[in-house]
Amino acid sequence: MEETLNTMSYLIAGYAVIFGVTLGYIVSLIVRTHNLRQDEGLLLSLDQGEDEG
Amino acid sequence: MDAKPKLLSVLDVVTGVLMAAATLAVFFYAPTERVMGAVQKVFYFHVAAGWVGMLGFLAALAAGVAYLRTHDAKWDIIGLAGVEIGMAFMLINIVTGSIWARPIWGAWWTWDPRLTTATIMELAYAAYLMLRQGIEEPDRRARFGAVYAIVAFISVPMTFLSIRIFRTIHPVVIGNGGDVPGAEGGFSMTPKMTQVFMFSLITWSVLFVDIFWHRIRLGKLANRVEQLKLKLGGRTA
Repeated sequence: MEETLNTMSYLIAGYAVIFGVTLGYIVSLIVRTHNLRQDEGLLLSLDQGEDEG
Repeated sequence: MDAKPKLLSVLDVVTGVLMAAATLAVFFYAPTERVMGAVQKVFYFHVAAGWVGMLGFLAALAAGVAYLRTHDAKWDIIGLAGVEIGMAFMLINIVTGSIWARPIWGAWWTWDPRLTTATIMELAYAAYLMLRQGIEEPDRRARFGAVYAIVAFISVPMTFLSIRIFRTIHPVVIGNGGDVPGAEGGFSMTPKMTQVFMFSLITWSVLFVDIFWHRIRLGKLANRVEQLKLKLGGRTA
């Protein structure tokens, strides 16, 4: 009968990658959305300023 | 500014709960495989990540066809979202596969047909993102993106079928009972393993829909900002 391999460290590494990449991607979506909202607000105020001016 | 739809907030919560439940099921409900030990549990999310990665590329293909038919910019946003998410999930699939391979095959990497085609697929879509950045004119960029997404999709069925067509050491667990000549690390799924596997696939599909929706909203926002920049740039020019 074959002996069960001790592969716990590889399991931990695997799930660290799974959650690391997934969370990293979600954080990148949040950061990009935040930055673009700021840009949009700034550009809209510039646009309105030019319309009034 | 677009308010976040209530349904999307509900989907965020449902996705979080499902992910937590699937993780608990993998660690505490699924049995440990007799020969490979704990690392076999990487299989559940490894396959699920590959599945949703390919879903992303399929969405990009469909959006590419729709853009070429309609020339509506929303399809370009959807296509880009599909490619970006597909790449993130395929990266998980490839890296976790490599981690699994180290103790089972005795190597982090081998140029097996499945690993090679998956790498080609990932690189093909990485080129899509890089080449898009080099095109400033939005219509041209969208047209290029649509055609590229259609052509690049050839790599998806090639990757999926590679372990069924070519002689490979990559196990074919689904539909073959883990018993394929030449494959190393195959196994037969017990009923509990099958339950956790199916639950993981459903969970990751929901995760895909949730992230895809968020990424499309981000794309629409980026589009509005780009239009504003062009409008203001046109006035100052």
